Amino acid sequence: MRAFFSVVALQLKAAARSKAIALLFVASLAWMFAVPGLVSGDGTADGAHQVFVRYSLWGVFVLVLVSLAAAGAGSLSSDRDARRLQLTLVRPARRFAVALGRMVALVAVGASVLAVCALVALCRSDASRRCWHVLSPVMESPRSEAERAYRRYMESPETPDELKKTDKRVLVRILERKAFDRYETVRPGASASWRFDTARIGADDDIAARLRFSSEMGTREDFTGTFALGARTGSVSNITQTVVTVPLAAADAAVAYAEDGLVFTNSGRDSLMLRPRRDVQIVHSSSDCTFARNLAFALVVMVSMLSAVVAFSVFLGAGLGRSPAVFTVMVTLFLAAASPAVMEDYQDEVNSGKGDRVGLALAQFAGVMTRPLGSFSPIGSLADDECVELRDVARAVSVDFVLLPLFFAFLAAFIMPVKQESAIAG
Amino acid sequence: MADACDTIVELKGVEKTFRDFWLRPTVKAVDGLDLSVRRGEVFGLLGPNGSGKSTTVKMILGLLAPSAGKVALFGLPPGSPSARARLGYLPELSYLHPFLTARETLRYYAGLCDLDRATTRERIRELLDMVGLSDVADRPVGGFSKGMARRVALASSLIGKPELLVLDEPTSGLDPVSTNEVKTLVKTLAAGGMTVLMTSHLLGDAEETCDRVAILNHGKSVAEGRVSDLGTSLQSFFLAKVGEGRRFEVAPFLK
Repeated sequence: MRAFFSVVALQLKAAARSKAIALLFVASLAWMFAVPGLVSGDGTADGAHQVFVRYSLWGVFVLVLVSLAAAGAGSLSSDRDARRLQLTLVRPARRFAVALGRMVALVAVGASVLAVCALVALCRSDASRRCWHVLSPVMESPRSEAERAYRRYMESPETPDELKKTDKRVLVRILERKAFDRYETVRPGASASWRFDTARIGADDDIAARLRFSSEMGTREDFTGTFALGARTGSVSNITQTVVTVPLAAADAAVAYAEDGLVFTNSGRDSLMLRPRRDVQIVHSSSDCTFARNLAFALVVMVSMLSAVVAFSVFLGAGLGRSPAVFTVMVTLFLAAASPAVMEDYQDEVNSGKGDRVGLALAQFAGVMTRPLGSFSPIGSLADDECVELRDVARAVSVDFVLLPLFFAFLAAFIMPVKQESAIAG
Repeated sequence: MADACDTIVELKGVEKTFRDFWLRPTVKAVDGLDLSVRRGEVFGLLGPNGSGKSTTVKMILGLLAPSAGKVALFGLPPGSPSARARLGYLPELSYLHPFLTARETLRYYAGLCDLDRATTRERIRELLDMVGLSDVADRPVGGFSKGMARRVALASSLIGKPELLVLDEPTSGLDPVSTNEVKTLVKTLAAGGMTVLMTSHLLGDAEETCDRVAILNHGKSVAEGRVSDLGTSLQSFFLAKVGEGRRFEVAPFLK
């Protein structure tokens, strides 16, 4: 353990005495104070809060992530290039401790920058502001729905032979996407219902139905109707906003959710089209989820994501020279940011060419490999007053903060002497 | 013949061939080397530039794996933590972290050697006194002269109280005063029972310091024995074994 702490202390001293890290601190704080002047909200206090939280913390997180990814990639590689690493490797310290110590110190630096900026965000916001827990409909998974649809297609004599010859994985992926995006139409005078796990809603919680329209299919046209969840109801009329939140007020004070379905009755003149898996939510606020708690949870998730990136970059630095390691980690960060959009915009098609398939396969591979980074953004939730849930924090801590760094430290320890030998030979 | 327990470093039929990216052999740096260093002696690994001295040292340290043959350090594989715990190494150049002070440098290496806090404090004080850097112990080593940096590197190689001290060209690039200090220190350490393995191409230094030497040329050992048994100066012996080198024709250039 002493070797580990020595390495941590060395890396912390390197950071504390480096101009780059001082600059990172100053730039991060400057950005936190500059955002309200640079980005304007919609004129409301809520809008200003959203804009401030989203852009200030997002900017700082990107800055810290990129800076520490570069620092991590250069940590072992620059020591090896300067031939200092061999002096560490001839000591009895375990290489695993050397790699892990570098990672921990860099994460500590990043965490301290993020914590200071989070403190600024907390001081500029209402710490007791209530946030919403978000529930999505309980439905069959898109994958299982896709598998079922695939079997049906294959058994049907009407399915063209060309389609039957298509690669099953491609077809299931297309069907899965379609299942996820499947529209439901609620005609005038008709009702639709979606089941929710209402057991998590407290008796005193404020509840609202929320529709998040995110398509350009004309679904933002005004709609009118009534939502009902058990004895709670709420009405909406002639709304054209993208996000519609309808408070569900209790008709009776002692509400028991005998039925766990959210029912929408369309009383307007036009049909309403929506995608239940994407667009329909129930939100409920409770006293346990304030902005302060949410910020603390988001900070833990951000530090965990940072740990995964730093661990990966230190591993790259253990196996590559400084420049290739920095280049690779930057490309990976770019892919992590870009691959979800690529997969969203360029989807599988039955008749897509081989080149397109290769490109898609690469994007999908990048998306899967960088999922810890791209799957969940706590800043969006924080800005939208959505609770960063404990299960997301637990997943981020266990995978991004613990497992991935240990895995990459192990790989770095394995590859370090190999690269050291080739550096000496070179 | 020395007792097996007294053999600190042993190389048997060691070869090292460097390869390029496509694994094609490029240079055979060490070729069938047999060598043993006994407890308590100062052993000099001599040879002209490119003779394989540093490669041999790096194989002993476990930084390079031999292509063939066997290297043993205290009877153990050189990369093993228990072998490394008994080893101190001073490279050809000091390679210090410029942002650390002399005291922090020693503390860092003490941590890597798993020394406890009290021992670390005591050992740092002793070593700083020994190399005469107590007054500048809290200054960053990046601002030190080459001689001072060398002394910090030497102190850090001794922080774990090693049984074997490996010195790669310890006096390279030092002024006569610093060179003399290093030589005196090596002799004092050896008198205290420490085994020293040093490489050098400065034959005067080696003659003054070493008990036994091996002369390498083109990766092979061309001579090995006690300095006192040579019967001639090490310089003459070396040139006889390695050759006098080429004579440059400068007259046409000077015309």
